[in-house]
Amino acid sequence: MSKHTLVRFDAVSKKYADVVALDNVSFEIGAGEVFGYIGPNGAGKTTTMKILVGLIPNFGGSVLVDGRDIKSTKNGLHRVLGYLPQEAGFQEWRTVDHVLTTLGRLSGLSHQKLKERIPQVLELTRLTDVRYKRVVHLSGGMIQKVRLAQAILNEPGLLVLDEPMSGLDPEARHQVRVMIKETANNGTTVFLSSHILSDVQDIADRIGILSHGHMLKVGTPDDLQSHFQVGNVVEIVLSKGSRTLPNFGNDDGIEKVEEMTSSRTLLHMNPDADADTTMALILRKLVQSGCQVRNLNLVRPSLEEVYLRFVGGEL
Amino acid sequence: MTLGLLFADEMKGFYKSYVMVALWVGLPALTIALHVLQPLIEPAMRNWSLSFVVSVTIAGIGAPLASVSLSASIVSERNQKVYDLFLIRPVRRSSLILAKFAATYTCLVAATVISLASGMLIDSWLGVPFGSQWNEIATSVIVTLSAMAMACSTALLIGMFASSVALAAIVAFWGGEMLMLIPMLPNYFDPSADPVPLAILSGLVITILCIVFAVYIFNRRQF
Repeated sequence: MSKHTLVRFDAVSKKYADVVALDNVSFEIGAGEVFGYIGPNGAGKTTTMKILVGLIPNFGGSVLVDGRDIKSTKNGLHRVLGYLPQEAGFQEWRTVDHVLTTLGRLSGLSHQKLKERIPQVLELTRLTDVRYKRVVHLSGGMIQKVRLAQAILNEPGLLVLDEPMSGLDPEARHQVRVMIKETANNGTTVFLSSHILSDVQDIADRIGILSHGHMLKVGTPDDLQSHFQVGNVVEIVLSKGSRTLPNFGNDDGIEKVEEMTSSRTLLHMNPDADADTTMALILRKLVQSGCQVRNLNLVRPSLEEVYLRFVGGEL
Repeated sequence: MTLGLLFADEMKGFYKSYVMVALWVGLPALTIALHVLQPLIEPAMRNWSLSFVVSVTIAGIGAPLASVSLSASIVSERNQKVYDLFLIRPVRRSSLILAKFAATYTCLVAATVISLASGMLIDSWLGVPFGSQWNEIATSVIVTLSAMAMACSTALLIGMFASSVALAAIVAFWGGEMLMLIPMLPNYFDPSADPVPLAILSGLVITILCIVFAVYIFNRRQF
């Protein structure tokens, strides 16, 4: 990491009765970084985030934010913190405006500042039209936007988002992704968890994979793919009337040949095979055998494939 | 400062959710209705002034009402995870609890004052003398305010433990009724005994103990 460390989890553990939620979890988040946190249900993601924002005061290990221990400096830190919980309700009588006014005042914003800030946040989250409507009368996706609006209201330096895309339709999900990117571009550090791995892959600078309370791996999306050595796939599409494909095997760095149609074939590379060398070898063999190739394409496994294989114990 | 903000927010909630209307209009209306209807069943009440009926009625309704509404709202808000968004801000956990207690108690005291003032106004308008019952009225109001304080603080405690709104309401209603009896205990042994000293003492001690214990539990609770 080139930027200084803003958040440091050091050997953090948490037990609920006999259930271990977090076991010796350590990682760092750099200032201005977008850190994605993925893992199956019950992995301990929400517990990690609740510890960071101070909702779970009793835990083992230490958590430092900007070098300060959160156990001793809660109120000071909370002025620079924004949090979107996975679940959070609102009293039946509250309108969107009430929610933002009350929570904004409690965050230390003045009436004058709130007069400027609330319309900005409503515009950003596209909630302007429902400003004076009761929150409980809004759809699930709109309520999620209200939760997001309160999280960014005080222009936090550290934004903690627990499943921010949950319950949103594709358009709203896209809007939230753009908003997170814009927030990060303005210098805010973002710590977000999600089950929607493609969203994390698009947004996050680095990703931590958590499973059963253990941090399995932290790295950039590229790091994770190369670390777990999931083999690349080469897609070959032959022209009509072309000669048949030559045989490929282990000597060529190919683990498996999968014929999809008569003209389209997938070659699964060995996980340890070098992509460039193998591609060159395949190309040479195709030319030598006189095949007419319409398309030759290297397909890298998605983070989702890496993740699923990893938490599934295949890697 | 946050305590003041939270108190104002709770009061706004009572206003917006029509709890205030129910208390400040419903309670006086109920006592007036009782004043008109009850003598049909109990002829001895024909000679009671409305002011006295008000003070007696509120004593019987106020404490359980306070207890049920407060404990139910705490459990409901806890289950809906309403507090998460407050507690991640620079807010003392104790302020949340104290604001709830103060707002509920203020609403009930206001309802008592409004009901009593309405009763006195109507008595004066009808020319019914209530001065002779002034001592009984004052005693009843002090006992009521004390019971309401005990009920509100006990409701805080019940709200910390109860897992469902229904359970909180049942336990709180029963608890509120029981607490009403504490200041009346001397009269059980001696009908001429003055319940005011015990009402004030028990009101202060039980209220403070319950609030301190509720704050302690809320501070240790994980959300």
